[in-house]
Amino acid sequence: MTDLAASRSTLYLSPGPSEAKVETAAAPLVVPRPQSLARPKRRVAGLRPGLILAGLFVALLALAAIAPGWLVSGDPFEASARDAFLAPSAQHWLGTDENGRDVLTRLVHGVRPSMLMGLAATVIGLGGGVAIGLTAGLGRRFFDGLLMRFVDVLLAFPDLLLALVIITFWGQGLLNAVVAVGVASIPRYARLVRSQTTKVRGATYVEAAVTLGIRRSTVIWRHVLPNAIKPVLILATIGVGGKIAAGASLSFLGFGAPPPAPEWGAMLAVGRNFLANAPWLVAAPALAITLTVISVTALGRELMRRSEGAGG
Amino acid sequence: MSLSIRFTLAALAALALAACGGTPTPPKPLAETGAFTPYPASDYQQQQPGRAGGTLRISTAIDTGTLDFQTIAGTTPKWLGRLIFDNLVYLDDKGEPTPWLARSWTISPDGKTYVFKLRQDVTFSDGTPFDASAVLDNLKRIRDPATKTAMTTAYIAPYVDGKVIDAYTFQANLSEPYAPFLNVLAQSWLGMMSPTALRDHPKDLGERPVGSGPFVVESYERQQGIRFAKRADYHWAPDFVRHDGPAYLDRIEVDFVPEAMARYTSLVSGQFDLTMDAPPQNAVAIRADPTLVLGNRINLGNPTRAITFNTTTAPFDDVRIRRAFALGIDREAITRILGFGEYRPTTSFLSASTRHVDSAAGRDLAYDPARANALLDEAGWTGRDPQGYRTRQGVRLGADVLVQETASSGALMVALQSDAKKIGFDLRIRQLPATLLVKRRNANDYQAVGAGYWHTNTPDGLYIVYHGKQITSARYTGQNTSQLQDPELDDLLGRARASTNPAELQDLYAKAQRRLAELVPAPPLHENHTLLAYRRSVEGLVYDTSHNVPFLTTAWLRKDPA
Repeated sequence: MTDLAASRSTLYLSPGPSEAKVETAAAPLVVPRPQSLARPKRRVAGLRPGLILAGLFVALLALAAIAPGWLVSGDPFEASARDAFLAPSAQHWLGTDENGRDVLTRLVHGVRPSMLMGLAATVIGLGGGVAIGLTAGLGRRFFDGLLMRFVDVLLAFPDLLLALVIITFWGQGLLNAVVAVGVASIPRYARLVRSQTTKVRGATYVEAAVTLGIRRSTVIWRHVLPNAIKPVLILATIGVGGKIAAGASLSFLGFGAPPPAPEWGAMLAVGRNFLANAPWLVAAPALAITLTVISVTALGRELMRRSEGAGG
Repeated sequence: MSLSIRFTLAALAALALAACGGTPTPPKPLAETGAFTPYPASDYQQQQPGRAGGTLRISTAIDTGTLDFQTIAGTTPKWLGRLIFDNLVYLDDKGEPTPWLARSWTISPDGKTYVFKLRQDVTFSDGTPFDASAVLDNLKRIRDPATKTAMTTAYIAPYVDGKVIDAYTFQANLSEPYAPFLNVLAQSWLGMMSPTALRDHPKDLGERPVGSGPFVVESYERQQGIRFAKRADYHWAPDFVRHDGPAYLDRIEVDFVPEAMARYTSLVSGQFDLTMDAPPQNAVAIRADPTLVLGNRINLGNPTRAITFNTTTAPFDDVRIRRAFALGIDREAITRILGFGEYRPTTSFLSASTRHVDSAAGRDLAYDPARANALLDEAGWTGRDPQGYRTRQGVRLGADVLVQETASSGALMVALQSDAKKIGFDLRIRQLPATLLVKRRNANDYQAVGAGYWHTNTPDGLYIVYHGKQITSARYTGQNTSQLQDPELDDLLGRARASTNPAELQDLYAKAQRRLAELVPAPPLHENHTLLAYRRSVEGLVYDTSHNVPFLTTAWLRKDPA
């Protein structure tokens, strides 16, 4: 009963490997299918190598975040003014920065704050969004209106601007940046959760549960919440990439961890001043940020595609 | 796995490099450290008449926030003041006062009364004539605490009041003999404003300043730029500059371009004729470009210091630790990463271009990590903790340095931190918003603050920065951030302030600099440079004797870009 929607999703959208093979091999003419089924599958098949690369890259990032010492041996803080601005070489694969620190070492050590930013900020945004969205979606009409108008006001600000406002009040630092980016994304999630909640709230299985006399809190916990949150969760995985970019933007603007912490955005901010004489200072963190955001987003999109139609 | 990521990233970076087409510039040799040759007088004087007409387009890094120069604390916009305002006197290339709006002056034997004879043919751009009462109104305003002038007050603190003797004769009364008075009057921040404007619209002098200078402000857009138009009836440039009549340029357009890279590329592309803030990292490229000229000048006053110790708070209340920290600074290497071969490292407390500099006085502060370690051992910091920092009775040797939070690199602080670590000192960088930083500085709640310099056109800058009377208190905002209070130094600097005898001045300032090298309130790092770049089409550019920035009255354009 609970898993009405979920089971529907398995029915619709788990493209088993064999099926996919048939699909590509037998080309368009055989097996007349409804369009809605055929289209996502073809895309999935086409994306596969890219997806594998994205997956590998994310795995590598995870490793760098957990144990940067396995990938690089140097100290990201070891500075020596006499070794500054060395071009990429056998000794320094990505060159050295303005303080003579190894760029590759700093890049790898910068993975952890970036990933932390992406994940923690998403958790904060999701947590806050679910709380507000559920309350609004299940609460009284007046209360719902009040909360949602407030959320509308917040939505009028771009996320990054909202994060900047929060940082201005609380000061800079990695933790504050995480909280700022997370809180700034609450309104968006709140809106989504609320609309899902109102939809699920009227679903027949919820009606049935209520008719059966199940307690209100149990209905919310076992029936409404899981079904309302599922599509939001999937959207959130895509959001992780965006949060990493937002975190990099904040540290680019000088609101991240104070120097000498290795942060991609901060590395980029410094490097742009030396674009003409030391382009590797910009190239390395820029590529890292781009590849990370693309990989995480690609994985998130794939997840969404697989569950399309699940939450309605 | 480890190998694969390294290869991938390195390959990608190499690809990006190739795409940029950038060949890394080889590091330049360390900046010249030989003797400083004084700038020739021809740098300051018009050599031949120029061609009138044209618009000069200038880029500069930061907006001043106001054009009311009497209230500005920053030193970057000093060249702008010269466009709008004129001063009573102008220095010559040796630092001696020469006539400008004041034709002549006499100083009483006790050094406390100055009588100025003024020019009689000068008008402000609003038509108000310049006379003795205009001088009185200006000095009164600068002296008035309500004006909240940031630096000008400290400069004319000994000025008590003035007297209008006749329409064009002004008498200034000082509380004590103060020899640098005339030098200070030559500075851009003490330019004369129209008394009518001071009276009628004191609130918007920041947007609509009215002076008697060679240009008038047409418009001023915050964070955008300033537009100037020539005053056709101007004919009172300082005698020393040897320029007659109005400025050559019809118009000057100033744009604020905070991005270093953008200032460089827009100059190369011809979008601007001149940038007042050439990025040092592009200096090599600018010097190599046949269409561009790089100007590199050492400012008068005090050089840039690496860090300013609070001499009243642990650990920097111990002179051995201050000295050890100074000895641990690899000055030449740090100067190279900041100045890319354009900045001169220095251990002097006065800049190389300032009178009475004694370059030998600070020699003892040169990089010497072995001696630094010996001093710290002597001070009892002989233990070591697992991170390699020195300890004494279980306490780690270290300090917080407060710096303003910005998006800039902070390369200097990081380099200092790494140099300090090499002698076992834990320097912790604390970034603060500007307001909080000022608050903690005024409350004497800090162990050290970041780099700084003091630019003025006399060696009296030492008094401003290191004299005991210049410590900030509830009633007085001073510049002595090292909280230095040394009777011997105070006596030397106080006597130098009152003296006009060159031999005595030389002796007093030499002793003061040697005393400073003993006290090490702040280790000198490199000279405070003005770095500018301009297209070769800009001709007749001379420098300001007080500030070593372009004095644009004489500048002209070889070919009208329009």
